[in-house]
Amino acid sequence: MEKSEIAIRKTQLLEIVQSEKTLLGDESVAFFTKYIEKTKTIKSFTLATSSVNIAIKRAKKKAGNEDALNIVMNILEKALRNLIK
Amino acid sequence: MKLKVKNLVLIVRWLMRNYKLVSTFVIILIATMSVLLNNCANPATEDIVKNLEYDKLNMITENPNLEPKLKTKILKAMKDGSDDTGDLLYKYRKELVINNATLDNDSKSWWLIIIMQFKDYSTKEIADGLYLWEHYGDIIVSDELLEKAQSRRDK
Repeated sequence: MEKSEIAIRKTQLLEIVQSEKTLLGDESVAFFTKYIEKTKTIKSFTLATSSVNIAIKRAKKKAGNEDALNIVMNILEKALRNLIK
Repeated sequence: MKLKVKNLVLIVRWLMRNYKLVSTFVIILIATMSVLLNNCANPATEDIVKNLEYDKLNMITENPNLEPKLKTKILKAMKDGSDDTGDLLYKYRKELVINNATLDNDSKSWWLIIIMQFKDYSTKEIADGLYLWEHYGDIIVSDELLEKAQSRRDK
């Protein structure tokens, strides 16, 4: 029973990591895949899921910050162009 | 009073004459402030805490050897998502995780990953930390560990 549940959890978590490949990057995907494959207990899968969620949320936040910075840089560029005119 | 009004009129006139310069300055100021505010408001720790349910937090503090005061302090920091949570967990990593007999090895690995995430470590640093944990029993390299590794290589 426990073995099949572990197998299901492992597959699900690996699928989540793969589906967020663009966001997480190859290095993180390789890292999580390696450690998820190694994980053997249900208790630790709960923690593994939390850790993957944390990584995804942080990557999303980082991407959001970069977008915000690009917007600000565009505004600054326009302001400086306006001044030079 | 007259002098004050006169000065004010002069300032307004100057501002109107140099409206391009003034508007550019205001835009730059707003942009700078928004970047600074965005960087200052760092809800990273808060995000991590939201991802860990309360029962999972208990998992790390189930250690019977942990002082009740310290346990309360760590649980509070983790629940509040305060900025020093990562430092606190990292400081007591041996008591909380490494020497915690209630956790299996897999759970220890994942808890150490989470602690390093709290500390804002990069993926490479986390991977290095785990390598050290697996080979030397801790996530940091101390002089003692380096010496051990050196002597093993020399043999």
